Formats: sequence, structure tokens, C-alpha cells
Amino acid sequence: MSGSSNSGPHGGIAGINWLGVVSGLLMIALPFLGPWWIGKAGEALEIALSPFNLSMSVVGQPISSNLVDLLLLAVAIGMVIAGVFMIVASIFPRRWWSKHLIKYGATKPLWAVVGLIVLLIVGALLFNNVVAKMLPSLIGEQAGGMGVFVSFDLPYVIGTSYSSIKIGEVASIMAPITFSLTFAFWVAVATSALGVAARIYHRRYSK
Amino acid sequence: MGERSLKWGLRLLGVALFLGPIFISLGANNWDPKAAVLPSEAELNEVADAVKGVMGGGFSPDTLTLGSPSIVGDQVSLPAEFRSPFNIPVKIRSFSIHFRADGQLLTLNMKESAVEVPARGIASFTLVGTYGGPITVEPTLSGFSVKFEALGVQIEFKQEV
Repeated sequence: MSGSSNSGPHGGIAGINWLGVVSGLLMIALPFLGPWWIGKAGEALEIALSPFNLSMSVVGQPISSNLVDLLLLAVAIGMVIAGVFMIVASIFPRRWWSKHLIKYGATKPLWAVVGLIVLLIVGALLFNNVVAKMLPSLIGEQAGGMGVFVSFDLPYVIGTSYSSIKIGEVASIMAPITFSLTFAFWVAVATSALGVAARIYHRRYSK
Repeated sequence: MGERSLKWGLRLLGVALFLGPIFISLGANNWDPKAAVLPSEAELNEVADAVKGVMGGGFSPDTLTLGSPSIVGDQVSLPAEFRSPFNIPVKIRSFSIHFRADGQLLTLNMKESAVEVPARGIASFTLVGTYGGPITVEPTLSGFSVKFEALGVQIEFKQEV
């Protein structure tokens, strides 16, 4: 097997792909850093989301989906495995299996970040353009055919807006909608950059 | 050979991490996709109960008690007591009450800028307004409007009597 040791000019500590080690450690830590994004409608509705966990609560009462929880748990396990692969491959960069493990792990955080942003943008687009248009007829039926005016303008990824539902001349509900990214998201962005850099840097060991 | 096995192993790991949760979740829910994806009936009932709990018993004739009005010049002042039917603290942002007498519309507005009401608690405030001239008949309530803030959400009710 070619490159089966770390000896030589790039052997020992100098032969380690440190970008990969740091990236791997951060990848292992990512699932435990909490939500990446938090969405709130006043204090009545809260959604905390990361690629590893989704928690929703309405008036403090949690709601969950068994399938979504398990899928996100699998993403968390996958990220930890990818992080371990990154560390092992970076410590032994000249082993034949190293480039495969790096290739497997390096872009996982990047896809997680891109996936979350795409999901949030598509979610806001769907809500603003589809759900908000369906709500007046749905609420109107419940409200005995009273004219219902719904104004939903969810922010894209981050920001604050006000959404309102007006039921005839009788009642109106207005809620501030606040979306924010957390520190964990920016750690994930840094991990993504490190992962990609580690993969590019790793090419020198394959030569 | 080892390299090929590793490549396939990594691919299978990804597939297993994707398909595994789907099969486990479906298996745990008697292969019912709806039960696997949607929150359980018990959870939805708890949410419905929590929302109903917030609203308490709703408005009743006891919710608002009006005191005796005092009139100074053309200024009318009316003490009011609000018994909250809500199981959470609320803030009354504005309160207006409309009376009709001698063909005139008299509107009284809450004097205070906002009033905090504890969960199922009682809050007192004063309604003030002006009237155009002497009233010869007993004023009759013609409507009210109230704006609450609860859990960061503003709720406004208007009622014509």
C-alpha cells in the first residue's frame, strides 16, 4: 500500500493535516451546540432548528414528529462519524484510505449549512405565497364565513416582521415574527470552511 | 480491492443513515406513514388544551364591571374593573367603550397607557371621554373594543351591541 506511514519530510506532527483535525473536532461538537436557527411568533410559538434537531412548541407545549426526530438523529450520528473520519484521516494523511475518509467527511458541514439555508428560504417562500393564500378560506369557514384578511410576510432566514389575521370587523391578531441565527450556525459556517480547506490541503499528501 | 470496499462501505453508511430512521420510524408506528410523520394525537390534544387553557373560560358578563360615572364639565370619568378570564398574564393596551344617548355617540377610552393583568386576576382602570351636551336619557351601551397583548401577540376584539 502506498503512503502507509507518516514518516519522511511530512511525517510526525508536521505530517498531520491540522485543518482536518480541527474541522473534525468541530464536526463532532456541532450536534451538541444547540439550535442553529430560532423562529418565534411572539412567545406563543417557537421553533428551534438545526440539521440535528427540531423542537417546536405552541404555548409552551412541545410538538414533535417521530420520523423527523429519527432522521435528524441520523444526521447527527453521521456528522460525528464524519468528524471521526476527518480526524483519523488527517492524523494519517498518507494512508491509502485517508483521501476517501476526507472526501466523505469534509463537505458534510457545508451541505448541512446550505441545506438549512435552502430549507428556510423555501419554507418562507411557500408560507408567504401558498399557505398565506389558503388561510383566509380555512379561517373563514371556521369564522362562519366572515371576511378574513391574512397578511403574512415571513422574513427570509433572519429578520423581524409582523403578520396579522383580521376576521371581519370583529377580531384581529397581530404577531411579531422573529427569525435569528445562533452562534452554533456561525461555528458550522467556520467548520464548513475548514472542512473544504482541509480537503484541498489534503491533496498534497496524495502526490 | 480494499479501496473499492471502503468506497462501497462509505456509500452504504450514508444509505443506512438515511433509510434506517425511515424503517425504524415506520416500524414503530405500525407502518403508518401518517403516524410516523405527524405529531401524535395525544400531543395535538395537549396543544389544543394548552391553547384553550390560555383563553380560560372566555368573556362573560362578569368580565367587565363598570362603576358610577363622575361628570366634571363635559368630562366623563368611569371606573372599570376587568376580571381576566385568561390563564396567563395579559396587558390591556387599549380599551374603548361606546354609548349612545340622545342620538349622540359617547366614546370613553382607557386613561392609562397600558394595564397589566395577572393570570385570572383583576385590574382596575378608568375610562374617560367628553360629551357634547346635556343628556336627557339613560345612555345605552352600543359597543366596545379592546386590544390585549398576550404571549407577545396582540389581539383586538370589537363588538357592536
